[in-house]
Amino acid sequence: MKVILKRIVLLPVVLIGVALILFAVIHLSPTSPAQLLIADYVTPEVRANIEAKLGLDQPLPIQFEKYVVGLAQGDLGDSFRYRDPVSKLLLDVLPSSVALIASGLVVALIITLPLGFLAARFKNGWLDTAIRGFVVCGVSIPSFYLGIVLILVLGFYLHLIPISGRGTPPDFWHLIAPAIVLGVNTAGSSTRVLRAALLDSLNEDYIRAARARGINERAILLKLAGRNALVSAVTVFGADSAGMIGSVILVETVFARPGLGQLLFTGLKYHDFPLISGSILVLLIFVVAINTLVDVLHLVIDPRVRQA
Amino acid sequence: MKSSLALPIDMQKRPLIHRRFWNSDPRRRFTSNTLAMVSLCWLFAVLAAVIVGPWFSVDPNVADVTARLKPPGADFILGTDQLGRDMLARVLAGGRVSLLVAVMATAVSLTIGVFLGVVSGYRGGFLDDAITRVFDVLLSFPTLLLGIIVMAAFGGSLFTVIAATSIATVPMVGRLARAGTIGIRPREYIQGVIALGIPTSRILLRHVLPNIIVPVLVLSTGNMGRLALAEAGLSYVGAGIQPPDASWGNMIAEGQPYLQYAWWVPVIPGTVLTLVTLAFSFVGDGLRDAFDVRELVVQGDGT
Amino acid sequence: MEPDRLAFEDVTITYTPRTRPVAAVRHVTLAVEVGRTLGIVGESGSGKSTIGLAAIRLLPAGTQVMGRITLGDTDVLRLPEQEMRAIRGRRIGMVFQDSLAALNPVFSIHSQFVQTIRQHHPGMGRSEASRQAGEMLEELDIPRDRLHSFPHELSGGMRQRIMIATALAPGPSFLIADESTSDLDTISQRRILDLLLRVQKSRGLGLIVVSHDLGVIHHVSEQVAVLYRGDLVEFGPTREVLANPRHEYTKGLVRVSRKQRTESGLLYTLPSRASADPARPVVP
Repeated sequence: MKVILKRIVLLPVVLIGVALILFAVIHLSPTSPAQLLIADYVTPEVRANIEAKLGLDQPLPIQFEKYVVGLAQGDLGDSFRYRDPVSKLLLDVLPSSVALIASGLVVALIITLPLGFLAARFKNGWLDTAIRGFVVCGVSIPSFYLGIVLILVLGFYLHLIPISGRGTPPDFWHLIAPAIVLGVNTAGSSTRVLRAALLDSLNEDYIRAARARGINERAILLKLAGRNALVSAVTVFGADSAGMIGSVILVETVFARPGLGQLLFTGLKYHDFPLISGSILVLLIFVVAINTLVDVLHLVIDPRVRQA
Repeated sequence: MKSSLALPIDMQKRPLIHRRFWNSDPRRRFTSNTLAMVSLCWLFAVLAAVIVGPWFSVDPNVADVTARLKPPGADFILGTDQLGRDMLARVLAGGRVSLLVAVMATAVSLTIGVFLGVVSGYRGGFLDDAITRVFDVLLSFPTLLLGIIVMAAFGGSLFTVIAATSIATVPMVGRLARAGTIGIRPREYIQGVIALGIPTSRILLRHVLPNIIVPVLVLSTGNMGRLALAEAGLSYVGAGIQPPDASWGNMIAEGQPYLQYAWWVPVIPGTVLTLVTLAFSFVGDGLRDAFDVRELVVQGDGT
Repeated sequence: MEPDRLAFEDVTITYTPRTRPVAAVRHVTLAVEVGRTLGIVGESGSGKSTIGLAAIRLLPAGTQVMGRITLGDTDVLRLPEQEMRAIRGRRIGMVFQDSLAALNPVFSIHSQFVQTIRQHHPGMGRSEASRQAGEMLEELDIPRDRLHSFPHELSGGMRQRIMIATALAPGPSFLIADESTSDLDTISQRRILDLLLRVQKSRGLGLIVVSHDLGVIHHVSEQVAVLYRGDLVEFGPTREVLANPRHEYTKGLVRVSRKQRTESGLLYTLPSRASADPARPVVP
């Protein structure tokens, strides 16, 4: 319990820390945002003008103060490109990203659980070999490549899915392909971990002891070893799901799907610092949230941690 | 069995390294793994092609507006892209970048990661706590996000891509090196050389390092595919190698709008990239099985 | 009818590691009846644990067992897996050495009991199984409230008792205790042994105690089998064997356990493995 409380209390501290690091990294770097923002060939006057407009002509400490004060009030600054408050831009696309992440997680789970158990049950058989093949492909195929292939085959040739973008919510049809891409990528590594964890716990003494008490193989795999494997694999699943947040950026870009990733992509394209730092910050909140969720889950299913 | 005196490793006479390697079980296990060997040959073929190829092919950055989006055929083996540039030349140039990033980032992260890992594992105490904490934080963030932060600060170039991917890899290597060091530190042969008064730097270099390095090298090899993937991902979202310089990632990004009319522009670099990362995975898995190395479970920790 | 005799007839067990088959146990013939106790003693690697696991067919895959192991009239080695499962736990119970490793860490004691009981009585409800589990604990002097603990919350002695209780829960007529007290201190060891003897008497169990410790065997078993490097070198009533050991190894074992001294005043030790004949005989 204490661990979780500590984490929740620490959450804002961590986020503010990350925000400050972002600010420092970007402002202390040799290239100023203004320089990145505008082309090299503009006259110094034009450049000074732009810098003044963006508040970049003020000394760093002042900029920093403004940034921190803004941050404390939930103000992430105005986007250079859209001239809108970043927080509004982020809030607008948030539901879309959340829907994508959630459905990606669901797809990953739907793939991981059966495949992991089947591979462990039929260890070294043809099914296991096939599943391991899927695992290697899942972790090695770039999500943006898989996305393009899906668009080409399912979209252009077979007309099964919409090509890109996002329909009016609930946008089930637009969600399918991105969720599959996101899910397959994550399922690759988590299936491998689940299989390994299952095989590990099947080798433990307590499984031999359970067999010695006459427990049937089905219950041993699904109930006993399954529970142990989930306990040891859940942290890795957490890391995988956190990694999924990185893939969201790619997947949203591939499918031209409005979302945090696409905002970040736009920000990078136009060197829009407030937009970049704002979207990174929100993505990091997702990462921290998933990690916290995993801690809670670990606490619920592992009695040894619960006691501590 | 006659008991032999346990000499420190570097005092025993040892046969030539390559002979010893060639006669070892792991080598036998690896070469009998067909998939891994095929993958290794493919990787060497790609490596040779991207090193030698660009001397024989046309300039990858020269555009020819009269020959835009030509399909693969006799004139252009892999076709041309939206600006009429030769795809083969660009794929080779992009491959150079990808493999260079994979190799360089592996070298950098091995050097820094092993150093930090061994020192923190051997020293323990506050230094160890601090380094472990930093590793944990870095590991809990997705590689791509970490890379984007670095790229946002320093702009996209080959050098920054290598730096960005290295930062994400150092903690993985460091963790493994640290775990290995902590594992062998209490052993008699290490305690023995400490008792002999041998300087710490020499102990670490001659006695600790050789005993922990195998799993680190094995896992780093398997990780090279992930580094190529990270480079491509960064370049794809525009935070990596900047056009007009070719990279498999930015070729896919630039070609994607033409997907419907000229599928080869994004699909060819994507396929090559996938085959390379797959091959790295197979070689990595093969090495892992051959050397019987267990993957350290990477635990996320979000604070 | 409940089987009343567990017998090993000319049993040879061969492990097949990567290179060549190695015999762990050779031509062993022993038996224990219901209501009687048998001790199997030997150093580590002598094959004594292998015999116990062979009786419930839980040896690692690739192990070959020749000869006959009979439970009453049935040959255990020739039973289909399905019927074998009904014997494990229900007819022959097993108590392992490392109770921390042998109890599943993520399940409460209660649920490990309920799983076991309901496995053998498919129609039984949860509450009835739960009630039986509680009775089982009381029979072994374990407070009932321990039922809702997890293995890591209990002491070593308590865990070992619970291991015994879970093994007894399905109501077996034979119990094999494999080094069950070796990890405990002398006092807890004594308590567990007395407890084992008590339930053996009250339930009329056929008890096989496997140990490297002659003191333990002497304390609990009426008969003793001495295994030395896979061979059964001595088998008979415990008192007779210890009073009049015939094999060199048994003599050594007795001297060591009595802390006899040599003429020069040194304690006797057993010859080490390394100085004995180096190559283990290999079954062709």
